[in-house]
Parts: sequence; C-alpha cells; structure tokens
Amino acid sequence: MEERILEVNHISTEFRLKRKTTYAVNDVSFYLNRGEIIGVVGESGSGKSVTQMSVLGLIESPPGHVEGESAVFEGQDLLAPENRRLLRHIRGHKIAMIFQDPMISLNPSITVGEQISETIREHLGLNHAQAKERAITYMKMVKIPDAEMRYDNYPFEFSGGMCQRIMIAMAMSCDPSVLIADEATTALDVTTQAQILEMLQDIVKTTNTSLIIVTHNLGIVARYADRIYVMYGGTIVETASTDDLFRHPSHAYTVGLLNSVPRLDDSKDRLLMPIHGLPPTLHEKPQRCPFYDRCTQRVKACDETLPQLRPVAPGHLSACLNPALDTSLKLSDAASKKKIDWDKCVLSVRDLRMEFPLYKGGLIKRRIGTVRAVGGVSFDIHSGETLGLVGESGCGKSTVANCLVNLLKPTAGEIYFQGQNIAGMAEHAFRKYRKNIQLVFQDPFSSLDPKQTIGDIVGEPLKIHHLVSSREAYEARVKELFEMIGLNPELRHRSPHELSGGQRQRIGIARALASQPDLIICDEPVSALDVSVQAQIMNLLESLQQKLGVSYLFVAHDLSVVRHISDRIAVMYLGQIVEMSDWKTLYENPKHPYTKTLLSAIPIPDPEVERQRERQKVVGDIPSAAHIPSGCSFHTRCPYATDRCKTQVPDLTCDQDGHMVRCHLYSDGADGKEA
Amino acid sequence: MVKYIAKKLAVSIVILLVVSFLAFWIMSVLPGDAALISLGTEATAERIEELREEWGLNDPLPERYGAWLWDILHGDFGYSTHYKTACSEVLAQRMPITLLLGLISLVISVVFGILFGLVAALYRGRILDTIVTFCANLGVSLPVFWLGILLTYLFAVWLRILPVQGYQSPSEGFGGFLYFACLPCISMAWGSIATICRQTRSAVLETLHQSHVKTARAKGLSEGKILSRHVLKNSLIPVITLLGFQVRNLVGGSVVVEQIYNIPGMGRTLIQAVNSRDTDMALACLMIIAAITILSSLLVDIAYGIVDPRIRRGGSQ
Repeated sequence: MEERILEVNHISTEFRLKRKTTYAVNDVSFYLNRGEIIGVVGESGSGKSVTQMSVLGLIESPPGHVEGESAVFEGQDLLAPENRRLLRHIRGHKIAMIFQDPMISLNPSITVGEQISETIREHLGLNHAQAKERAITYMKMVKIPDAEMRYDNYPFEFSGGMCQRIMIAMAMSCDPSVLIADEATTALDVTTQAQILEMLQDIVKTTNTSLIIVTHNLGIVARYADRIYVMYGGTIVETASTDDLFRHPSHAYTVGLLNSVPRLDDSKDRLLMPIHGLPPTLHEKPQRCPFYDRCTQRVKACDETLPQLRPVAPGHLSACLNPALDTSLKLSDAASKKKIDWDKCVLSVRDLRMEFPLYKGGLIKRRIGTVRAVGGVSFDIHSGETLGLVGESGCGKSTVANCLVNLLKPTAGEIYFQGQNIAGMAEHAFRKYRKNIQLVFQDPFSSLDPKQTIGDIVGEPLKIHHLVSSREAYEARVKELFEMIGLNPELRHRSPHELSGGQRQRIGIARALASQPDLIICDEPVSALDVSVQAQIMNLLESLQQKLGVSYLFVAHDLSVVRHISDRIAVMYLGQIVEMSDWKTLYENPKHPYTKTLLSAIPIPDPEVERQRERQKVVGDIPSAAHIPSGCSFHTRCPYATDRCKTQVPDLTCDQDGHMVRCHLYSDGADGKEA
Repeated sequence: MVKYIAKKLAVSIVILLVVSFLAFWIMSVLPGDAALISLGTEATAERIEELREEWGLNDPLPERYGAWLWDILHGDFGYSTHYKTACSEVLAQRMPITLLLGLISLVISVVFGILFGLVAALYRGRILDTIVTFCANLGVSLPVFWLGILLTYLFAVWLRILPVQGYQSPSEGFGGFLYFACLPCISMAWGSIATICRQTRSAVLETLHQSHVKTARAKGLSEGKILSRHVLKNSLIPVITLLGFQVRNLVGGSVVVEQIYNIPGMGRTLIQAVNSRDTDMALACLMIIAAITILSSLLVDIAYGIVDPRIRRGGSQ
C-alpha cells in the first residue's frame, strides 16, 4: 500500500531584489511515497534546489517569497502560517537535508560529534551522554572507522567523502521519514560518489525512509531513483517512473538532455547533440514554454501558452505540446573523418617524475617528506590523435599537463617535442616551442583576464609570438579565429564577464588556437560547464581537430566524456599510469582492477543497462600522495590483492595489441588469468 | 597547543630584543643628552664632560647597550635624571593608571564593538544598520585628540557634568575615579568600538552566508542557537586579529589622551622624558609599551588557537 508522505501542490518561489524579480520556481507540484526514492533532475538555475528549500522554509525572506496551495507532510500543511514554528521541529527531525559540498557544509570550529549530538539533543530531548552514544551509533552506521575516537575530530581532519558520511549520520540521527540529498555527491570523486550513493540507498531501503535525490546527473537518477521529475526554467516539464522516462522520454528538453550527455556505453559514432542557447533568466513570469527558445522541435502552440503537465501514459506526465516528438539518438560519422598519423609522434614523454618536498616549521624549515605527484609516466601522442588522461583528484594528471607546458620543472624524465627534450627548459629557450603547445583551462571564469576584451585575449598570442605583420592581418586573423569557434566576431569588443560559461570556454580555445599549435592540452575543459553546454564544447574540439589536424591531450576525471573524444586512453592512479590502450579495448575489456572500479562507479543514464551491469564495488578513500602504499599502490583498495601486491611494485606490461596494464594479475602470461 | 605557545613566546622574545636595540640606538643618536639638559645652558664644557664620564655616556654604543640590557634583566630600569629617582619607582606609580584606563577602554570597545556589529549585521539594510554603520564610519575617521577636545567642551564646559581634566585613584573612592576616568576612556575607546563594530558586522554577514549555517538551519536549530553557536564563534576570528591592533592603538591613544586630560600616566611620562632627554626613563616607558604590545599579540595568537581548531591542531592535515 502506497502512503503519500509528502505532497506539494502548486508552490512558487520568487526572489524580489531592488532591480528585478527572479521567478525561480513556478507552480511546481510533486509527491513522495513512504520508502520511495525520487530524483529531481535539472541544470543549474532550473529551480530544483530552491523547490526543496521552499518546502522546508529555508528560503531567506527577504528577498525570497514563497507562495503555494499546500505542502502536506504527514497530514500537516508546512506552508500554513500557523505551522511556521512547527516547521523548525520538522526540519532535521522528520525531514533532513544533505548539501553539496560536505567540506563547507559542516561548521569548521565544532567537532563533528558535537554537530551530530546537537541535532539529537534539539529534537529528541536526550541529555549529553545519551546524545553522544546515539551519535556514535550513527557514525558507525555510515562506516566511520574508530567512531568513538573520531567523535572529537574537527571536519578538516576528514576527507570529503568522510565529511559527507558525517552529514548523512547527522541527517539520519533523528530517524527522519524524508531525506533530501541536494547534489550530495557532486563535489566528490566518482568512486567516493558511488560509495556514498550505495550507502544512502541501503540506509533508506532498510529504514523505509523516503529519499529525494536532487542532481544534474542523469546517470545517478537512472541508477538509484524509482521515479523522476525533470525540471527546467523553474517548472517541472516531465515526470514518470525511471524506466518509463528513459524508455519513452516525452518532453523535448528530456530528449535534448539525453542526446547531449555522453554515456559510458555510447557507440563512438553517436553525435552529441548540444542544446544550443542559454537557459532562461526567469526575470519574467513565463508565458510560454520555458524551453521554447532552445527547442529544435517546437510547434506553434508552444509560443502561445504555458504548457501544463498532461498525462501521456499512466503515471507519466509531460508538458510538451509537440505531438510527434522525435526521440531517437543521432548518429554521425565523426570518428571516420579523423586523420591520425600513427608513425608521427608529436610528443613523447619518458619516465616523467615530479616530486614536491613537504616542509614543516616557520622560520627554520625541516623537510619531513615528499609528495610524489607523478612517479614515472611515459606516453606518446601521435599527430592528429587525442590521448585521454583520466584519474580521480590527486592522481597527478594535472601535474603532468603542467610539466608539458613548462609551468612546472619536473624532478626527472624527458619530454620530447619536435625532437628536442623540453623538460624543465629555461623559459627563454622554451619560448619558441610554447606557441606550438597550448593549454585550455578548466575554469573559464577565472582563466580569462577580466580587464581585457575577448578580442584582445584571442589576439594576444599573435602579438607575443610575432605571428602577424600588420594591423590588418591581425584583425583578419582574430576574425577568422572567432568564426572558427562559432562566435560572432562582432562580440570581440566585449569583456569576459558579459559571456556565458560556454562562450568563455570557446574564447579559451580560440586563444589556444591562435598560434596554430601542434598540440593542445585540455585540462578538464568541460567539467565546469552545464551538461547541455558540455556537448557544444566537445563537438567544437572534435570538429577543430578534423579541420586542423591538431593533437589533443585531454585531461579529465569523467570517463564518459573522455570516451567520447579520445582515440587512446591512459588511466592514472597515484602518479602512475595503471592502464593504457585504445579507447575500445579499455571500455570493453578493462584489465586493471582500478579501471574496472572506475568504470563501475559511473552510472549510465539508462536504467535497463544499469540493472544488467556487473559492478565492482570499491572500498576506502584514495591514499594521500605523501604516503603512497608499498608495492602496488592500489593494493589497499583492490579486491584481488595478494601478498605479492603488498611488497612488489608491478611493471607496466604490454600485450601484442598494445594494451598496457600495471598489475600482477597479468604480469605472468601474455594475457594472464581473467580477473 | 603547548608547543604552539612556546614557539610564539620564543619569537616574541626575539622581537622584544630587536625593539630594545632599536629604541636604545635611536635615543642615543638624538641631539642633546641628559648631561646637557640637566646642567642647562650656563654649564662649562668641562663640567658637561665630567658628568658624561660619570654617567657613562661616553662609552661605545654596544657597551652601553649591553650594560643597560643587563640592568633591565635584573629589574633595574636606571635612574631618571628628570625625576631624580629610580625609574622603577616612577613607573610603579604611573603604570597602573595607564593600564587601568587602557583595560577599561579595551573592555568597552570589545563589548560595544561586537554588540553594535552584531546588531548591524542582523538588521542589515534596515534603519538600525544604517545608523550604526554611519556612526562607525564617523568613529573610524575621528582623531582621538579632536574627539577628546570635543567631548570636554560638550560635557565639561557646556553641560558641566564632568571634569575638564585631572585624575583620582580608585583607592581614594571609586565614584571619584569614574568621574574623572569617564571622558578619557570614552575618547580612547571610541575609535576601537567603531573599528571592531565594522569588522564584526562584515564577518557576521560573511558567516551567515556560509553553507554550514544553511546546514544548521536545516537541522532545525533556533535562530538564537544558530547565532550563538554557529555564527558568532566563526565570525570572531577576524575580530580577534583586530584586537591585537586595537591594543596598540589604545597604547598610542593613551599618550595623547593623558596629555589632553592631564592624567599622570605612562604616556605623559614618556613625553616628558623625551622632552627632557631623560634617556633611561624614556627607554623604560618604551620597553614597557613594547612588552605590552607584544604580549597582546601573543594573547591574540593564543585566542586564535582556542577559537580555530585548525591552528590548535597544528595543521595536521
């Protein structure tokens, strides 16, 4: 028997600032059954978080203003003015919330144990000793090792994943009936994200708690949610059971989103279909479909009224007015157009090492250890090729990138570029190579000089490297670069803050292209962008490669993004390459246990595929680069670890197909035994 | 924590030594010396030379510095040529007056500074905030001497409810002490209240927007508990930094205020000593002031450790 535990009807939230009002949430209704997991999916600015905060009375007023028919929780209307005081006793007690960044969501100056106990004392009326006992029970439930001892630690003494466990312990400590996870794993590494979500799922299923997962990640809801709400522009545009939604998406935005997100199980020739344009600013109350401006399948009626949710199947509602929506995935022949010259190496890295000394003390410094960021990395990049370099935070992938462009002087090793070892070269000598190796940065907001116009930013390399002879040639080249990256050259007098994130990243790419480099190092170029914009940038990078024959080193943590763009992929763990092969072999036949773990951790936005997948679970956190485990550095988290792995460092071995792996499981025979 | 304090203490001693040398060196290069001043313009060159020899003023600088430092370490601050008695005796009389007034001013500025700052932050954008912020901006820009004169005119000359100048020790009656100490303390504290108020306001506003406050609200804590347990402590860190500066400002302010209100404290003694080239007396005052300043920044460092666990646990991350 289904029991509605929370039912929200027609809630709207606006923020009234002096100049303008933002209509962040418009007439949203949803419900939640006991023990159910629902997913609320949307991009930034879709109103998904604000909706939850509005229900809980967490919107600051002024400027926020919440209105609605009702929000009934266990028979009480949370929106009713007389229940204002009651709301505080429901928050944290009956409805608990977990936020995005665990490191800043905990109070830095209070011990974690006290932060949990405080909630318990507030709602359950226990004394200090009882509350502490209960807090420790819940810390054990979320698998904090040595919970009794860790009770008196401060948040900064925990890793991000551990902090999020503490947040979950705090949220669960009063046995709530509803738990809201607001982008609770977005700031975490993929393997940690998988651990946290698995645990959340276990907890809510065993305690019959209801869970609302608020996220931008379609894969997460496909894997964990029973039912899904898709939000866009402050409204719910579609809702259905998870299976239904992914099998029969019925709103143009849902279809667009599914088409634009790279998937781990994509065929290489699938064309990512970016959603062009920008999300609405919501400064006016929507009078028509909020997706109208960006929709490729709009019909006349979409412009005339604000579409309401209507049933398209039992339990499946959609606010799309197009009766004949095209929901198929698009294919392209992008991969076949590539011209890779496997005989020509653009860049060769041999045994690159980068170590940072650790010091202690103020006036008189003592060296107390070494952080081994990169410990012997070798790879080649061929002409016209994209090499993907993947790994979780702290694995040394960005350090490698910085060594290649001479921003860091490596401790040892060689980097051959145009036949010359450029590793740690003096800047004046490196200068003539710099125009041939360029860098695209992660954060398009901080990597562009805010005081320069975007035209000047793009044209600066032309002046520095004396690549143009006249004012006219300069103007012509800047114009050409703007056209290459798909921006109107008329915009070149604007400054960076007038552009959106995607447009800025285009400028970053144009700047890198200006000096006609042979190699562009892209350091997490899409990870700061919204999912619908990511596809635009990836398609741009691919088409530029076809046109110009430039090689890429694509550094990223997201294996589904890397898969889409790379020809070969190297997986890094704690400063070493643990596996390297062509993209197909790596995804279809991964060998190293770490690669398998990493692949298992990434959810695929397709519930049917998700159910059939065999997943390898991972334990523990990534060790610190200052204390790298002996032997195989992955042995502390590896399910196949033997005594040999604890003592002996495995070599990188290569089979006849060029599939390299650093693992004892494969070091004895050509193919080794199947893991 | 003990190691942390020991380290700060060691650094403080080094700084104090450097300050002592600089002070001694500056006093020695100033034109004129105690012998010239005390004998007056009529004295013969021989007599001056004789007195210089007697007071050891002709010895080389490092030697004089060494001897002076040695004496100080033994509690002997030298002989005041102006008061014709041991410096320590003068200090024993005058230092408590300055310390007492300074301490009262400090307490006033901390209590009212944080209170006003908190009120302004909580009522931000409203009329109360505007008033407090306006007064605080005014307070920061008013010089102590000007404010002192203004207050004297207002309360002593015009309203005639407080004395123009003078001082009475609390041992002769606490009421009388307050009667005289009121205006000097207010003039000294005014600027500090304003500075602390402004800092508290911005720190509280910043903390209120941090994610962990959102967590505290989502936990269902009352606004009062959120403020006292989650906001105030985290906001205090930048305010504590400021306190170290404020102690220094109060010491500087005491020199001016004691002059205005004619209070026989250390500030006035210092000015007199410098004017009369009473080297030992001036140096004694300087060293005491330096010690107070350094001690206050040491206390600030310790307070940091108490408020911020990241410092207390020695950045074990």
